[in-house]
Amino acid sequence: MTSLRNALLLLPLLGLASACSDDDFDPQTQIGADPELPEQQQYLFPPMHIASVVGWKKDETPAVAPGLKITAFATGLQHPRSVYVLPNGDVLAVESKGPGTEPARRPKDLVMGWIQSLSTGGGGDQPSNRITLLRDADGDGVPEVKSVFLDHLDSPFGVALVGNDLYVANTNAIMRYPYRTGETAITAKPTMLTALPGGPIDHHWTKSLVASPDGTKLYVGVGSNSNITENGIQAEENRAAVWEIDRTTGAWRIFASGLRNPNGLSIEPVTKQLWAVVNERDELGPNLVPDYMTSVRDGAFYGWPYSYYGQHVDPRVMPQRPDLVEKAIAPDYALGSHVAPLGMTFYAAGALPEKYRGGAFVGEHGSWNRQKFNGYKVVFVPFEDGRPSGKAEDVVTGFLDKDDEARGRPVGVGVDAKGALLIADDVGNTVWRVTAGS
Amino acid sequence: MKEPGNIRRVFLLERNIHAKENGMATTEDTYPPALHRHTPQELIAAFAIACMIGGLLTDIAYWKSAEFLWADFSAWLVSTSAVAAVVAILAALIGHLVARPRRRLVPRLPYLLAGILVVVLAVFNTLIHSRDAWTSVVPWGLTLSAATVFVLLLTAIWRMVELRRADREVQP
Repeated sequence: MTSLRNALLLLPLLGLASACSDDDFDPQTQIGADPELPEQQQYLFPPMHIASVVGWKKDETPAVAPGLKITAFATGLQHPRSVYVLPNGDVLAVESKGPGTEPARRPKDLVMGWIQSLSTGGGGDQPSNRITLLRDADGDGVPEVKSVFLDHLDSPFGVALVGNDLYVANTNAIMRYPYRTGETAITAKPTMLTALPGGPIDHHWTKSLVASPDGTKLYVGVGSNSNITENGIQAEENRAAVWEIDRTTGAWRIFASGLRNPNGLSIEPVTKQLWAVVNERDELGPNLVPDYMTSVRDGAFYGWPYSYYGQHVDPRVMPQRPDLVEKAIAPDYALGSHVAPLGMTFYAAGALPEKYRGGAFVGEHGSWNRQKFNGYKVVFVPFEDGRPSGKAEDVVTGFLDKDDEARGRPVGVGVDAKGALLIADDVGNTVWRVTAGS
Repeated sequence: MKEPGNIRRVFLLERNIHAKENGMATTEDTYPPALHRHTPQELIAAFAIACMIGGLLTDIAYWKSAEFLWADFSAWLVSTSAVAAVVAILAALIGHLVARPRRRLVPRLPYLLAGILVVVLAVFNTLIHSRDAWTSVVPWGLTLSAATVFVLLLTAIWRMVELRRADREVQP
């Protein structure tokens, strides 16, 4: 074998062209009820293109659609990922970081972790995983009170108040706290209502939370533990699903499944139906698979991991399950490939221009798995009679600057007591407030 | 004069083939001969080859079981083999450049091509193995692993035949 080893003398010049073209595909064709789904394409080099973080300079703000105005409601937060508005108007900013317990199991995880560390900033090493209360009693858009409402949480995301019970969805459990109107900090010890699937992998860790209209149930989004079962199907037990939890006993059942990473759980105001935005799978091409928003039907299966948009089978999953693929239903409304919707709220207030009434705002965190950026904005989807009734339009943009560097990235959205739209920006460490005006 | 042992004899044959081709002194001319020393690239390449064979075995195990841990093992083995193969090439290249001209060992064309082919296969295989789940192995990862080991085997057999032939020439 000596000669063979010696033969490794010459470094072959590997002219490997990176698969980096997003061709001329029009992302607009993937917005709406019937998105165009191109051929699957598996990569030699999966595109990883994450906007490097520059942050917001003084007096810089995102851009808004005509008839709207935007101001910073709170700055200097630590990775705010969602907002929740209490009945008295106090705003809870949930500052949260991933548990960081996902082990690097493959060489790919090391490489991807390293690339990601180059471009995700936001928060540095400051303490996060807490909820900050912001009180703007006079409604001028500048909070007079800023206090730590709850601290030392476990990667929290969803919050829901029912009566005097305040529920916080940590990544591994729903916790219940007693809440009295007007409190600016909760010191009481929490009770655990229900344990949720958490570490050690905890790939999709954000647990979105909403109460049913009658307040008897809680709905929780539990994301998958992998992109596409590469951590084994055993790791996906009870994941990629929306859970329904009985609020009094903590008993739970799977309400709907096959939802890879459901977030922004919200009740549609006309039909009182549960809706969610869902992050679909990566590495099937720059234009697959479109993320979506959908009504979440009791007992329904939405495809993941075996298929997407109905019966489009994913070849990466083995063993396959034709029986489940057959049952899979297509979601209601595609938002575009890799836009990463992480927040949604229906607009039932009246302060913003007429056209926004009844529709949904969606926070799109932005793509990393395609060359040309997609998302990095807040869009609005008009609704009529409880169903999407038109094309999504941009409402808040400019999170990327002209050099495609990230000044911020939108995540959770909410509506405050004055009817303004609130946006958690986890890279800009800001909560933005959008009002009518110019 | 003491007869050299079997393993040692192979090394000497090896050396003599190069020596003859390059017009240098053979062991027949200068006895006892210079000791054969393993170069760093030989040791690294041996490690790479072991990883390539291991990667084929874990690929087969994943293909048969669909148990994700085998795919993880394959990803590590295949990636390591590619890195080691490239490092071996760099080491060989450096060794070649710093060696005195008359001691340079230039591999003959078939071995050179086989080596290049193996490295190209290993690098592509690493990229395929960076995919998620089933298609990181089936069908292309497994195919490339098998092709890599096949080229290694062919080269080894070719070498054995050649040595035996040379053996007969040296010791009729």
